[in-house]
Amino acid sequence: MSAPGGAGGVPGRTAWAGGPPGAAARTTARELTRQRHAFAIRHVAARCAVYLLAAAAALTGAAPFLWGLAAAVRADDGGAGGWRAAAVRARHLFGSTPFPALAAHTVLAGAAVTAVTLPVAVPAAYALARLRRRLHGTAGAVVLAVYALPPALVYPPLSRAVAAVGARDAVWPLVLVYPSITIPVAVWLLAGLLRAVPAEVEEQALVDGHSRFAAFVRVIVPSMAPGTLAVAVLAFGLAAGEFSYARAFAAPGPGATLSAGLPAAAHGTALGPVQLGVVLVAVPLAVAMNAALDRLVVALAGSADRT
Amino acid sequence: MAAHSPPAAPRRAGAADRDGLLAWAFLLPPAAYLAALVAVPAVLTVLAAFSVTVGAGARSGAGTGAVTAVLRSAVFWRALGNTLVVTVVATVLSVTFGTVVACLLRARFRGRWPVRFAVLLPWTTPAALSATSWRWLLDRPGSAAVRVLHGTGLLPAGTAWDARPAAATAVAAMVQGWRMTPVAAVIVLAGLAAIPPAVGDAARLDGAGAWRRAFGVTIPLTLPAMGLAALVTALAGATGMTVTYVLTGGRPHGTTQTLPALAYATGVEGGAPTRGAAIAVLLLPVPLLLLFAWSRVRRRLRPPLRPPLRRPRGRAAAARPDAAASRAGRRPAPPGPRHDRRGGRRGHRDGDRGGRDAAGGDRSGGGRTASAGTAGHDPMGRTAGGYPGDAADRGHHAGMEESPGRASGKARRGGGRRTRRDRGGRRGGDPGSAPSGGRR
Repeated sequence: MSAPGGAGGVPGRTAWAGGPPGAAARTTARELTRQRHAFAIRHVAARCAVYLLAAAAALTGAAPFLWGLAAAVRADDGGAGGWRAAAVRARHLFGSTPFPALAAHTVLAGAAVTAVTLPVAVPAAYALARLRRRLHGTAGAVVLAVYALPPALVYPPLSRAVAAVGARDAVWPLVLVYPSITIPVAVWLLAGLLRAVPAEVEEQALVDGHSRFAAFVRVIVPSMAPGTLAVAVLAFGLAAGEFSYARAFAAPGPGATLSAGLPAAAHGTALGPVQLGVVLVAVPLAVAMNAALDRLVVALAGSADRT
Repeated sequence: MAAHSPPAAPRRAGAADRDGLLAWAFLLPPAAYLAALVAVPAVLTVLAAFSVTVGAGARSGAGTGAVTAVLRSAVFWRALGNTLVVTVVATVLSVTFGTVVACLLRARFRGRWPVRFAVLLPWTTPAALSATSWRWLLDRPGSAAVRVLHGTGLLPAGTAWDARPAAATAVAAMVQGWRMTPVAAVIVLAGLAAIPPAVGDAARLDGAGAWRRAFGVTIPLTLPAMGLAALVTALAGATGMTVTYVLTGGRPHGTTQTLPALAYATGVEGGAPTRGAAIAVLLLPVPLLLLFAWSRVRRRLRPPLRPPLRRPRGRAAAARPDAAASRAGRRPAPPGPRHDRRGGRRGHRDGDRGGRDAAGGDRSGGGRTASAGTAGHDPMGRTAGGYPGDAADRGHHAGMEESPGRASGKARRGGGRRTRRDRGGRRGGDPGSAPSGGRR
């Protein structure tokens, strides 16, 4: 960096009234240089700290999955390592373990739950954000209360009912129950998102002669589409990851989801393939959530002061 | 925003126009669903814990027998203790590291996306799967996790991690904390995002360094979000059974069982539904206590909705900013997320009686600063038109702190008259612009 008007130099930046720079100017210049150096060092140190912290956070977050990946490509005794070993394990995973069926059930359950949650949550969020604003605080309290309720209180009668109907191995009881987790969260987040949407376009639709419902369908729903997608991703993740109900309803049976079935299946089979399965499940979910994160943060920030 | 086309022909107002009906129609399905599938089973379980069978007509067995039996068993108390330990440790860990991660995610650096992906992994992965992975990782004697445990002294060398109850519970708590860190991070991230950038700018202009800005400005403004994150992770730790059930399964010898897992093991696996229901009912006070604590604490973390009414308005307040602001060392209240949300309207009203608000600083539950500078002087004399607070007091921080950018944006959108009056050079605080106060 250039020292402004250093000792004996012609001042390039500061205009001194008459005459070459004196001692005061030289001191200033020295001090400025020193401060600039110090700032540069602090800046570099800060950047290093950020990168170190980022690396540490990433490693800690991904620790067991990295290990699983390493275990998946580890060479078997006497066999080849690397990708060939991983391919062998993958074939074992998809061929000899219940993993494909479990994964299919999980995807089915997640998709169905999302398909049930969104049509219920979007109108409810609209009602809270636009039609009945005063209820928004109460809704936040209800969401918290439902979240706080232990599943241990809720699943006994339901699992008895499911067993009585004879649907222990089916996926639909889960689809029936999971919305109790996803709907409150979805409504709350969507209401938060809606508060960030200005009311003018909707009001314009009303002025143009649409009914309230028509304005909702024509204006609000399309404008909320990205946020709804993010909430859908969240709902899917919540449904796919749920454990208590899954175990209580379809304790490791043929109709179980990954969450309930994989730990039990893991006892019988070799480590490598199942770990590969865990990584294969973790990565897409995290990728999807990563993409949805920005909108979720906006939604959270929008509803934060209603909690 | 997608353009819409007006309806083809004029229509009569029908059912779809009635807001009240629509609100009912929209809110009833989720409410009914939650009532039927959450409230009713919960009530049934509570009744079952007291051996009250609904519809069977047999009330002879009703009583608190199961509940008292559970209360007398040592297993229950140990499980309760484990639950509390896991909850507290996991919450502390996840909120602390979650805040760090949230600040990290706000920074700009190369490779942000992979880091975000890796940081989200603990939460987005199904809990059972990640717990299983951890269990395998810890069960292998030479693995990295075990070496770390030995190295940090948490585990004496040579012992397995699940050989001692204390170590097993600690490990379960750490895994639960690991799993909930992304949740806390996202919530705190939302809280950080809600802080208007002008606040940090004002602090920087006042000469606050990075540490001062972090601890004097950012952290106090983020406290509500951190509180919410703590609540959410504590609730998850208190009511979730996944991590302890899959990771430890109660090893060794059932000493590390937590209450929710115990309820499951007893009620579903053990085939004693009444006892399981009793355990679940006795588990209920823990989340209820957390909710109650939250309802008490949140008011102190946030400024109250309405400023106190006894402050003098307008000129009187503007005339004595110094005396008032130096009272009890209180600083002018910072704009929290709430202020942004009702942006201009709130900013109006408070800007109106800006002198009064800033003077009292009473909106903050405890003295908090939005600007690290000293109270009572306005170094830049910022008067750029959009600041709603400016009209009321010129020599005061409140003008700078009232989230100028967003507030004035909303002000312009929502109540244009206020801003125009601002720019019209109205000075000295005019409580007569009360209409903006009525817009709430």
